[in-house]
Amino acid sequence: MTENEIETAIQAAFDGTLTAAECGDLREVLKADPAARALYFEHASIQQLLIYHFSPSQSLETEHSLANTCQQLQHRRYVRFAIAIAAVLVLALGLTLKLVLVPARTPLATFQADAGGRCTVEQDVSGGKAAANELRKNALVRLTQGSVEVTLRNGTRSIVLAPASFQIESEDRMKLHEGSAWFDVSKHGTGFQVTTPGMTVTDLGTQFGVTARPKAGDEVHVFSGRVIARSVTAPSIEETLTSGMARICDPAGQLQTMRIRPEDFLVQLPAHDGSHVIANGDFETGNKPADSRFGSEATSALLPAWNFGTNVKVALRDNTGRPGYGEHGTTVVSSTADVQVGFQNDTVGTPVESDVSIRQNFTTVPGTRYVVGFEMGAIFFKQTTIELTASVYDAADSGILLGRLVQQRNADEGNGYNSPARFTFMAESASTTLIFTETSPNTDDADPVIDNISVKAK
Amino acid sequence: MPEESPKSLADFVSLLTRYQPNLMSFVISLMPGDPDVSDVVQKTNLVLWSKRAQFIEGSAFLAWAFAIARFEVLNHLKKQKRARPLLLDPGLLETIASEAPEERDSDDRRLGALENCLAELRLQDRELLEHRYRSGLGLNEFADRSGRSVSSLSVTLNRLRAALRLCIARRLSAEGGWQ
Repeated sequence: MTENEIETAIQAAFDGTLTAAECGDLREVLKADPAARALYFEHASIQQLLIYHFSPSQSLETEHSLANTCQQLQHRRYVRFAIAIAAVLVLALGLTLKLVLVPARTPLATFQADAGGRCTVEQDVSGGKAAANELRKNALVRLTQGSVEVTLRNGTRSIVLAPASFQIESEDRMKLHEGSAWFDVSKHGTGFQVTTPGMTVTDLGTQFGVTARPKAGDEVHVFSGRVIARSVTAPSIEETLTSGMARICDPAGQLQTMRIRPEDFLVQLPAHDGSHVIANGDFETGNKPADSRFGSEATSALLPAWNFGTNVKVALRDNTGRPGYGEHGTTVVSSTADVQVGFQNDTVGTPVESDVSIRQNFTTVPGTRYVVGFEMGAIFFKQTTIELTASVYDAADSGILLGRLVQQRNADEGNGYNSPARFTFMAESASTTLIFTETSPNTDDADPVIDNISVKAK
Repeated sequence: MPEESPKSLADFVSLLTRYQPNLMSFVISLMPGDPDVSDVVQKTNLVLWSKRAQFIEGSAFLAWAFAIARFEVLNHLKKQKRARPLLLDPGLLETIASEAPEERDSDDRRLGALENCLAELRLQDRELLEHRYRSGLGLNEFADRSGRSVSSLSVTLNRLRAALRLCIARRLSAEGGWQ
């Protein structure tokens, strides 16, 4: 048999379509030829890979329920990983009587990741099967992407943003090793503590946010009510903080005043269906301030998940209270008539790209085609043409362009929005970046606006 | 069975989890074309779990798992009513079992390479592979749908898998070695 014939026969063997004669021939070759056996092993491996890759994803429920793995996975390799864990724990369940004797109980905490969220949970399962969304005492959650909502037994809620790792030590105490977490403490949870490497924050009935970043000071931001912040390295340093106050714990353990940064926190999981792969595409997910405080504060608060330039502005209504983006009663509204993002660059000539851009890096599946959708509009105070360019690049800063669409609107068309725009791209790696930039030849006295950005697998 | 510490239990689960792909490949190689591969892998997992106290921490988990899987395959073959020719006679089965590679690139890397290689294929080729491995159905239905003959699809399937084998090897080699 030639090498090609051997390879064809090996594949037929794995397909179960060998005739008796072919079977005999291949058997003799395999017995005699170590190279043929090496090829045989390679094809066995290819079979396994293809089975894993194309496995139906409906197995996910079981995986989740048994695997202590909370990943809301879009990648099948992780799904298969979870299946493996699931298989093992099914066995544990079947073979350990005590597991079925565990009485029903309310979990210490439950969690839910957003559609793009990726996290793993390490927790003790020796006491029996954990529910799909259950977090047990000292469960260690590592969130590498997206966000996760944790609800404690006492009703306290937290939204944690990646990258993060945390542990639920009890219903009164959470350890935030790294990450950014927003808390809404229930009335039954007063006294709830969040500990970071540098700080202990004790709730006194409130909403607050805590960040813990390696190589940076830990922070606490109070949005309502009161908390007590205490330095870990200098426990005598303690301060009661009220709404609107924020502190950063410096390396010496001192609590320093800083500007409150609502933009660092999500107060709810991004509300979109599972097919969306970007977060906060509608700009509605942030920590919205009161109408009277719209302005730069609103911009930072309503753009979590996005990086944005200095001349990017969020607007819900103009300075006269009229809904939409604009001023002096001249406004534009998107199809959803809610929060929009404007590129407010009042200079003659093409603006500096970094000043008038918003960008987001998100996870993609290589080889998958995605559809980008968005609404672009413009508001004019002079006769000109406004241009907005949507670009998709592989990875974070690769410079490899995967797709681009330029949208224009001329003053002759009036203030308002174009029809929703769409374009597609094929992901080349697990990471892709979407950038919207104003590329108007002259941006003086006119602004482009954008809303309802979506990216979905096709 | 002595009481197990959560750590040793977790370590065992971790080993069993990590080596599931190897175990699956091993069983596939001993039961080529047999639709009961998954059942045998599952039975092997059961036995591994029930015998976990016998596993000595730090010893070669995969060699132990393969030995148990080999017994499970032999048990399965004994019970099976043979409807088609068997490629592996007892002697060849022992050779395959003893030579099966234990060490190889991580499952993540291999799957990543596969996904990149799949992305290079034409859509209709990916659909053919998906039909074969997702639906578990034969090629007849796909032949009806695509207007191609089963033999033509079979040839294409062989060509695709051969190309994938080379592509994966190339990608893993570029990343640091295919074992």
